Amino acid sequence: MSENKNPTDDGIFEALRAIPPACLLDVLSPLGYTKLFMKGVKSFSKNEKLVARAVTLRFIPTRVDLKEENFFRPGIGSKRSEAIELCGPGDVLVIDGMGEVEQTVGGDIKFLRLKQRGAEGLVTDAAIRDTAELLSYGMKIFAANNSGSDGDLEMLPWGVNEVISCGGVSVKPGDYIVGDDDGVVVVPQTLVGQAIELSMGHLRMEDAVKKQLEIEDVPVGKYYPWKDATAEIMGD
Amino acid sequence: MTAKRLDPRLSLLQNLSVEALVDAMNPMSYQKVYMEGVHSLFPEQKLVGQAVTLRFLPVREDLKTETRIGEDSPEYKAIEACGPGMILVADAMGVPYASIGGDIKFSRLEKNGAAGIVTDGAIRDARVLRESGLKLFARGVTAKIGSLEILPFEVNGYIQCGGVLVKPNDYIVAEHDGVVVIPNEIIDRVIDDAISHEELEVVVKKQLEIENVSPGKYYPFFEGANLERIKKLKKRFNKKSD
Repeated sequence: MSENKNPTDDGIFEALRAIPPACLLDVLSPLGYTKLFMKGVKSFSKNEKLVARAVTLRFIPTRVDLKEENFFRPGIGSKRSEAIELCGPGDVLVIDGMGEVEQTVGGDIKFLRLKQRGAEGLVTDAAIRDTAELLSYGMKIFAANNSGSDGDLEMLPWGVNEVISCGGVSVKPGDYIVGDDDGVVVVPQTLVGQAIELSMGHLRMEDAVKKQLEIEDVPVGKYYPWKDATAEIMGD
Repeated sequence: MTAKRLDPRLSLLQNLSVEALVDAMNPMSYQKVYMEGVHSLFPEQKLVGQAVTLRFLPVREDLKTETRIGEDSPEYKAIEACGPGMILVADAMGVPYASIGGDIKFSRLEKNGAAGIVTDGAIRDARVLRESGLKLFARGVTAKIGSLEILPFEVNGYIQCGGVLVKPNDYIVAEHDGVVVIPNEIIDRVIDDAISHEELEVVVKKQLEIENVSPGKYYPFFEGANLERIKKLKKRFNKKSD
């Protein structure tokens, strides 16, 4: 079981599953959080929704001396293995691959263990390899690319559960990650309650506007973005 | 202050080219040592020193609150760690127009006697900083406000800069041709090999002028039989000049 898991997670997960990433962005932006959507990170698990908490891993460029520090640790293996061992049900491994879209962070063998740990999935701003095999594991996979390249020649896993950058977004360990076919949004852990509450209202407003527009056949601007007329159709 | 005022390596490195250092490290299997996309802002400047690292992250409101803590903020801690012979090396994640700082923040670097700045982001007020004597290597210049995009987060961790690993106290040589990182652990070997490579290159150039032939006759210079031939030539030149 993940160290991140806390007793309130189940309720939070359930609520987040009903909220699209786009809606979360819309409600967090007015709070000053304008950089929460990962650029260039695409879903490889179509029609699937990822809701999980982040365990993070930061890659840095390869160097001979770093290889020695990273790989040859008896019983532990690489920093990648260390990060995978921290993942469990409810967790997603979020990998800062420095946006190197031609470089891979791992494939079917390395991430078999992630599946065994029961993790929800994998998110990276670099590439994955062994794509078909990896997808067959049933985890939710989001990446900038897939590629056959041997990523370790260019970069190596280093920082475990640090604050990282992924797709131009800062990610802290324990943040909530929500992804679907539109992409991936990071919900800071401390804001998750507020984000869910605001999203519920936002979704109710969107529903009301859509319904009203079908009835009235008028320009969207009459009710959207929010104005007094919107409050009226919502019955607030 | 961690600087070594009298580190004799710095004056040796001052006389070596970025190319000679890259060539010297290649046979040692250190191939990712040259920063991509990081240039001298003022071509006449040469920068030599040891790295103090600073890692930036994408801006986020809660991180801002946690890291903007006055003099204890990561950027100011990094600047204070930069004494004589030290270089501030900032990982700006390669974001092209994001400013890592300008004249007010970095005038403190100059007061501390630091040698210069290397970043894969951008620098504001570059001309003012140049007048203060700081040597500047960056992806570019900018007038944009950095804190809208990125924020300084961690001092003296392992970072990437221009696609290259930089550890604290690694040596840096930067000039018009770009920036090279020399891992601290191998610095003496690299300096020795770079010096002897440069000496051999002088020999090759001389010999090519004498013979008026294609460089292919001696290329690659530092491998197998070619190296032996060049070493013999060097001995012959040395004898002549005695």
